[in-house]
Amino acid sequence: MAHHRVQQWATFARQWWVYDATWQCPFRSAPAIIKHLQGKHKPIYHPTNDCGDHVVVINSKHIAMEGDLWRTFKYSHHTGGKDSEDPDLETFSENVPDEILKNLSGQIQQVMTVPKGIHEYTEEEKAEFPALFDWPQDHIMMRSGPSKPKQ
Amino acid sequence: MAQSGYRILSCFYKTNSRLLNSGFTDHVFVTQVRGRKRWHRSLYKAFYWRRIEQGPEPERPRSAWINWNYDAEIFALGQRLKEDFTETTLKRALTHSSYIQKEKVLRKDLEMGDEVHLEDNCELVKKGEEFTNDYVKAYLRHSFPALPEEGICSISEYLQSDEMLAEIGRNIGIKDLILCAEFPPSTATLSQSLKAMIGGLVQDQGSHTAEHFVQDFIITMMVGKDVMEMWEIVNPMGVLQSVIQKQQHGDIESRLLYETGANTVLATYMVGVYSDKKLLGKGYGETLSIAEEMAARDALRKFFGITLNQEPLPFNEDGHRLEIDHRKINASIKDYLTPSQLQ
Repeated sequence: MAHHRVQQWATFARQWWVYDATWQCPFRSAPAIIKHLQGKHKPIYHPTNDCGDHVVVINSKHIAMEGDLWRTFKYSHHTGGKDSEDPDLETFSENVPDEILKNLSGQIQQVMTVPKGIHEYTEEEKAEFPALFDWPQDHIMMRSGPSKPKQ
Repeated sequence: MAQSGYRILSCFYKTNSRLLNSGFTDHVFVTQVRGRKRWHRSLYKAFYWRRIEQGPEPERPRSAWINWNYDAEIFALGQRLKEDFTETTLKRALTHSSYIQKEKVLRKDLEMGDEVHLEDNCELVKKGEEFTNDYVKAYLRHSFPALPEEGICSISEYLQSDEMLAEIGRNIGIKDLILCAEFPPSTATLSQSLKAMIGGLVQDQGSHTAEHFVQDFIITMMVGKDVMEMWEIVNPMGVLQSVIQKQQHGDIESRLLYETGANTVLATYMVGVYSDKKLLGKGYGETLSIAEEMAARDALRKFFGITLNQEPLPFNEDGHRLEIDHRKINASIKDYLTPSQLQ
């Protein structure tokens, strides 16, 4: 009997996943995360079956959004009340507490490949890269590196 | 009653005009009754409550009804089971000493003399019990060659427990055929009757037929059940250690394979048991110690040949074709243990 008891325990265990949101489109990440929250990746899934997992999304302030969406995007959470309004996009920059990180057991694969920025290459790698032409002496190069946050 | 009968008749004739015109009704006197009388309701209500107050009908043996034919039922039992019992043997197998005692007392009270020409099933019970025990164990030893003798005994005890045999007896319909003092017959009586039937079969048809009977009705109760449920291994890690030493492998090492939700009440761990860098078994549980114990049990399953995915036991043609060595005895778990573990 004991075997079937622990088998049941393991089957219905709530797993803890981590998702790294660095350079990830939130709209394309959502389906991947929802699947785990609803438990649709499990063979025992059923709409009435409480088999969803936990997902911890880290680095959410480094998400990648198309165009000017960072500034213009609004969630449609309007309640219809007089003073209600759609909230702006808001990300949490605080670190994830340790007691939550201890629960983690797996990682959800990122939906987009993280591109490598020009500033991540070393000077040697840049020098070795084949160039089609040489820049004129008086050419001023554009700044390469992470932009400073707006005040 | 007569009134309601007429009502049914009249309704019938109303709907079936062909019968009405056929001249069939000429001899029947029909009084038409319309609706229900006012006194019906109170009368039926009184009947209803009288029935409720009286309580449920006491359970009566089938033989309490007038159309009971004991001989025919005994013959039918043999035919249902497709076994050629002698009528006297089967009757004897189902007659308990308590019934004979009861009859004697009854006859004495009626001044009919205390002679009852019946034989009780004591001998057959003993015979059947010995035969069943012997065959069940031999069959299990043949089917689980690596399982220790303790396991064989546990399964055999489970299969031959009074509850199990009584359930089998009830299902083949001997409850109403048993002659005993009490009604309904107790679990012990039912179990004894089944044993006596097996003893009778050995006497009438020989051990070969009786073996098939035991296999078909008793050993089949193992289908879909886990051996580990019938046999509780005490200290599985210690037993595993001894088994590993006996097979001259390296020391046992437990390793954590997977964990999730360590800080929550739903924490789950999966532990693997290794020896010589080979995974012997894995188990899961809500704590590390439980998971480790289950991993040891899982490894023992493999050593003792009682995994959950092994092929089913041989029954029917395969089972009847078995050539079982009755003298063979499996190794005992004590053979594996070191002297310090035995104390």
